[in-house]
Amino acid sequence: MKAFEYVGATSVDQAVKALTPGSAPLAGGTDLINRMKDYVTSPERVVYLNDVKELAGISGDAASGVTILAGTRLAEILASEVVKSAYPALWQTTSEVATPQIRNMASLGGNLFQHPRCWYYRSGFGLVPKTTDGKHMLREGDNRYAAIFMTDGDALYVHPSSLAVPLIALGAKATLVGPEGERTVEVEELYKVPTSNSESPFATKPGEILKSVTIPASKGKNASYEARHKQAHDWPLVMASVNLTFSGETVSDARVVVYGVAPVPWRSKAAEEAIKDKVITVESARSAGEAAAAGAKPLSMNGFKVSMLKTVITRALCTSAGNKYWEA
Amino acid sequence: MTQADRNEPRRRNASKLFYGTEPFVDDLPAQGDWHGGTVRSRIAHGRLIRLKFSPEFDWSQVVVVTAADIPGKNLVVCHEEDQPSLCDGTIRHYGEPLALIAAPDGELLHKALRAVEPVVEPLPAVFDPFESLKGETRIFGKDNLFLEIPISKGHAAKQFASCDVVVETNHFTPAQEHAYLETQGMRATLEGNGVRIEGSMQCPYYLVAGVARLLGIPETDVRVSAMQTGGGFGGKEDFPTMLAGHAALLARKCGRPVRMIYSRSEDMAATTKRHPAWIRRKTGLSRAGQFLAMELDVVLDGGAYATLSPFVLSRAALHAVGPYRCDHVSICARAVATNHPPNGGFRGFGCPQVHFATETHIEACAEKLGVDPVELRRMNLMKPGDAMPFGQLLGPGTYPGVVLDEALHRSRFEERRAEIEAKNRTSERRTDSGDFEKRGIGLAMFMHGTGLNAYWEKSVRSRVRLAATAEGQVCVLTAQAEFGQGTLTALAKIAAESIGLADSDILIDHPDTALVPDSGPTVASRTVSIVGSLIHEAASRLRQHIEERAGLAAIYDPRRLKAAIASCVSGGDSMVFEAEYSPTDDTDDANTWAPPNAYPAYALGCCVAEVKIDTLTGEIGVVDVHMICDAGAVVCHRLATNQVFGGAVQGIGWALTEKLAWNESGGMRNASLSDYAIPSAADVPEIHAHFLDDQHSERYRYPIGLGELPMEGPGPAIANAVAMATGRRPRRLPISPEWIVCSQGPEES
Repeated sequence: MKAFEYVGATSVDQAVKALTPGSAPLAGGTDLINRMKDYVTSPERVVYLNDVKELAGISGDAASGVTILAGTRLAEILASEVVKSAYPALWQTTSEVATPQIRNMASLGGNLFQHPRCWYYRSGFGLVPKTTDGKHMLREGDNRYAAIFMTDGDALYVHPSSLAVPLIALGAKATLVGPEGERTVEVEELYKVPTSNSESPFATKPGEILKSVTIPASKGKNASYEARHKQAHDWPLVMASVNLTFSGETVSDARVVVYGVAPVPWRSKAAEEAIKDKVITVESARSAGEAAAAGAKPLSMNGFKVSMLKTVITRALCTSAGNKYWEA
Repeated sequence: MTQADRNEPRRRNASKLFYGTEPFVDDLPAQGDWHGGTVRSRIAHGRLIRLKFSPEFDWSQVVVVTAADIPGKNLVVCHEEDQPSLCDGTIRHYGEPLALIAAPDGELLHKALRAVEPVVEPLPAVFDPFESLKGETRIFGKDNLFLEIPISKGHAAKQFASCDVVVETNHFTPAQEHAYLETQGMRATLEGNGVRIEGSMQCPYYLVAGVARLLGIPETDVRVSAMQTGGGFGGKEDFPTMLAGHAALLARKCGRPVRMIYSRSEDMAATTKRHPAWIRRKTGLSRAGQFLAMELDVVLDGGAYATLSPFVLSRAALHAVGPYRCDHVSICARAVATNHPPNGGFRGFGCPQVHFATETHIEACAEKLGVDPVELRRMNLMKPGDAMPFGQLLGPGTYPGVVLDEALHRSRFEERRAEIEAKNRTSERRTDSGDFEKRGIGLAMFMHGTGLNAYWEKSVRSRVRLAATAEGQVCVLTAQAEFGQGTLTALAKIAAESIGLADSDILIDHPDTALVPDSGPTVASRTVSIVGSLIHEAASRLRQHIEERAGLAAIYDPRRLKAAIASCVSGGDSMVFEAEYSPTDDTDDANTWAPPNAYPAYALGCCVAEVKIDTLTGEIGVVDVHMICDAGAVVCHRLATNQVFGGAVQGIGWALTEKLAWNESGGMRNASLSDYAIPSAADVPEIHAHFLDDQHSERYRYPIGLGELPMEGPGPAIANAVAMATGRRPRRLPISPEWIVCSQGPEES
């Protein structure tokens, strides 16, 4: 890797001051260090955040909402009783990230700001990889793991953070801190879709870091369901997180967010509409899955994701309602 | 006595490995070492016009080596003299080494590597071996054919006409990455008139020959020390010769020790893989199920240079029919040049490919005939004395049928199959769209001839040496490398038992060519079988010497024996005993690739795998694996069991998760372990390993070699289990979720 300047910060204030242009924040390092070793990212300065005490911990409860600080390890999220009982969508997804060793190191912030796994990006061709004669390498090349939504655009990779998906479903908000102070945005507003290699996939301002994520009070039911290739040490192929509010037996409000289908966590308004005012059954859940797939435009090799999308939405909805998805 | 109860020696270097004190090559102390790196081609085929060195970089800080700096022959030779160490003007594959750079530190090296731009003139590239055979793009010789091995027995073509049923299937097996824990690494130091090489390798004497040829110096001026090596699986058979040559060229140019340690991504992109194979199999059967005629086409993608392709092809051709009897067989096996990086040795060495075809093809035959595939196998399995297509008779005590029966019994195969059939019909796990969870159980037979084939084993002329010390201990001197498989432990145990000394009185270490004779490469499951038998032979000479000097009583008590050895040494006896491999029968010198008595013995195996498939998400879980192995005497049960576990896991990965994606230039697109998915512990079920080794038969007196065998069964067994679960027969590996979910997956294209 390229030599870099190392700065250790002990407060958020110090960290923000140290994060000058060309710097990268280091928490667990499970994504950053690998990118540095492969020269995908070569920061001039690395700012070590693990000694910033105000960046680690979980507070709050199910009734008032929970705040998870950005430096909190995924293993700590798994150890949280309140996350496990009130936000099973987040707990389940966290439990399926990578391996125990990586969950002991990786932080919430690092997970949300990890870089895409697209192998063209990781080989140095950028997020919008094109050949010198303008051919899109992912559109024309091996696109089995690429997006099936927003494929009219040029960003065809899939968003890598599996934790962003349940957090968006749960309506979580992110607090960012930077040279201009603090601001709070929806988690989905952390991301944008680049149109060229010079653009970032993140909607943060220069020098900003994530301070915390706040999940609102738990009212309804939530769940996640992943389809995977490997049972560990891998990212999901396709995953859905759902968060439902009920009026009696029927769904009064729904959020359905999907992983692995678009360059951002994909909020399926179609599935949300389809399940609204319905009682959750395998049939209604399956209809929601079908609705979600309606606008999909797969590339040459990833049509299989369309049927996986339907399945994971069906199963996440059934699971959230406490229905076993295999009981018709 | 159960297998686990046996008195087993501890792994020789276990505690040093555990505590991290056993050095690997990159742990060697830096003594002013420079770091070496490789400028590589980004195109698949073309002419290298020149290298453009950026004027913005200060080139006085580093040294650069090109083909023009090579004092000897610019060649890396396994068999053909076709592969240059550094590009000789024609680029034939992505990642081909064009030049070398050494720098005082890694960062400067990286900057220098980025400051070189190859100016090239691209030529059309060919990645498909069938396209390549048309010869429009010339890569090797006149026809791009590295080797063709025809094997014929009887009159297959005529015989098909009289068969009741003829079944023809096509199969494809993919490339596979070795994914050894330690990447390739080498250190070269100038020593006297020559050079000293230390590094990660399987075959130290290959490096002696290769470096001497490259530098144009006598082999006696090249000293090679194999370090503890972090896995090889065949990937460190031929490639280290290339890397050692590069390190030596750089050391010679900069006058300092140079270490070259590949990063994971460079290692995956630049080194050899398992040969992708296309296999067409046609079988004619009688109504009763007897195999009457067989026709097989085997095509291996050898990549841009021959490397080990002829040897892999030979083994594939010799094992193509599997452990089955058939009087009329016609085999055409070809290794073809393409513009992919060269493919090379990998555990199984051509066998996994042909066994996959055979064992999935037999199921298709059984389906066509409407018979039980297990019975079809049983009816056609060879017995001792039956002839293989190339003429060898199956040796005494070699009973594939016994292995099959043991596997059926231990896995409760027939019971489980009936249970699963019933369960699949009335699955409890239902959705409105039908059953989604399916199970399947599958079985596969496999076999592996031990050692190099007879012609090559004879030409290696392996020698081992035992040397006694003044303390009465015995040093075992062989060229066999330790790369996790337990070479040092197993060879020491063979020596201890053969001599009659305690295990602690046997001294053995990583091979250093200044000290050990050439006992051949550490490949081909030959370490305990071939080299072990030479140790046994040398040991009997040592015992005979002691018996003559100290009497018969001395050799039956380890303490008295040790004292007698010490006394002989102090009395001035040389106490060095050697043994050299000499085949008992005459090997036909003209028949290099399919000698009639190809291997001294065959190890046999049967794998039973059970899978659980979610047909909606495509997730395939292997829930149970039984591995029954007959590899003659088992030297160390614990190590042998570990070999079976490791081989089975590698087989599961090859079958299900390991999908190698190529880039536009024919190089590896997913050259990282997060994109190239090897199985994790969570993907591997309990593996039941069982050895047939405690029978009263001559066969079980000596080890036959087990290193490669276990890799060969899981692929076809899993494919057969998936076929039972889904009703669709996988003809290609890996079997991916995409393929399960819909036929739109890339495997169908």
